[in-house]
Amino acid sequence: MHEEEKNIDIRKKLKNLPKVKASDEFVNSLQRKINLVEAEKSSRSIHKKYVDNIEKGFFAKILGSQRNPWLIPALGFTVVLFFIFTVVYINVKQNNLDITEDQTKEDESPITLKTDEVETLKESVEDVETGDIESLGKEIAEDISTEGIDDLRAPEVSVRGYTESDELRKETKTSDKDEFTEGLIIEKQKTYFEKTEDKLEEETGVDTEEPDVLKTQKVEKKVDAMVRSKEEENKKVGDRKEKKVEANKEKEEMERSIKGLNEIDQSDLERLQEEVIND
Amino acid sequence: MSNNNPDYKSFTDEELIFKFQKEDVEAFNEIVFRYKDRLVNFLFRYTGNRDDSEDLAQDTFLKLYRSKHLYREIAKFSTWFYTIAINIAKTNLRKKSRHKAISLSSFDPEGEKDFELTANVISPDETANASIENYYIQKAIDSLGESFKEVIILRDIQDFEYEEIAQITGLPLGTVKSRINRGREKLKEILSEIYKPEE
Repeated sequence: MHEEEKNIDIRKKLKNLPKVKASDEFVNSLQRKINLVEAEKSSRSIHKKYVDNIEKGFFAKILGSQRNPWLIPALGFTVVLFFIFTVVYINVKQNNLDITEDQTKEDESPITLKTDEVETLKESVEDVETGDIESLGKEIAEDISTEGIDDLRAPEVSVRGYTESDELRKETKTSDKDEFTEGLIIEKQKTYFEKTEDKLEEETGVDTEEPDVLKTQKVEKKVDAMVRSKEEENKKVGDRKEKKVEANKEKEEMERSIKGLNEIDQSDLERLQEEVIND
Repeated sequence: MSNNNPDYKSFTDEELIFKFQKEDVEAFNEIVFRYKDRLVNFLFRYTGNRDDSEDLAQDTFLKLYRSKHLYREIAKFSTWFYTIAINIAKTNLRKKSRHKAISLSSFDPEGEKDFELTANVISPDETANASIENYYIQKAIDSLGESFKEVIILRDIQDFEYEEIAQITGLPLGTVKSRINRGREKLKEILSEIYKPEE
């Protein structure tokens, strides 16, 4: 209360300030403003009613609001896309299954080569002379005697061209030189057939290096068949050689017997003639 | 807008607002009738501008019209209503101060700066003041800081109790009291500087 008394003069002055009253237009202008607010309110409620009516539609029920009408075609487009994708996916899956079934059937069936392919293969196999193989074997055998097996042993290359692992190499390592030379001969044949494989690729248009497993399997089988046929031919060649050697031996014996007959003396013949006459 | 129903005059402010909350527009009319002059006077003293005070008073009634449902009987209606008014007035003052800054910085191609009329320049609004002293008192109020001005007007012009002022401004009671005293002293000081009455 002391503070109130302290500034009593200024308080009085403030209290005596004339009271400003609202103008006569105050209420009318306020009424106008209120009417504007009411109009805005009613227009909003009308808009809301309109929106509610629209929202009763099928898509509005799904989408919840009509404020985004672009959602309707977007939703339709999405459904169509999903349908197409599903159909395509099922078809592709079915096709893949059919293809794999066919391929398994093909793999089970024996490999049949065309006559052209067989002829070309035969020609290419005949190009390799057996003498070359033997000479190569001899050379390698000599090298082994000088350098040792392990240093000379070439990496075993599979038909596909993969280098086999060291462990596998150890397992397949042979101590016998003859066996080793045979192995080298087979290796030589394999490398040769790799070349023929390339020729096959050029002729048949089948890319063996293609990552398609089925194609490589097919080519492998073909190459295996070729290797087998070559081995058989080699055997045949060996048999022929043996027969030749035997025939030569027989011939030599015959010649020797003929020679023996030729060496019979004339005196012996005369003696024999006399004995026959005497008898 | 005129209210001819004598029953509404007997209602308290709180009863009227509750009636208005039940969509009784007559109750709102009675509130406007009771508060329009008080509110315009308060806002005139706060802003120092007659047109602004009327506009702000109308905005305050509009706010009441829209937000009637927000009133709860935890405070007096007058306290709640003046809180709305003071917030609207503060927002308006901030907007005006921003506008003033832009206007002062704007460039005049003819070389004559067209400054906004500031509170220090006499305007037709001052016709409301009967005497020169009143005019200077208003100038002194305008020159007070916002924090002092609102409490001085609420206490010494609008006759609110300290507790009510604390509720309206959201300040602690002690702060309100000290601000009122300091405000008065400042006002006295300003008045003594700008106005020396001839004896």
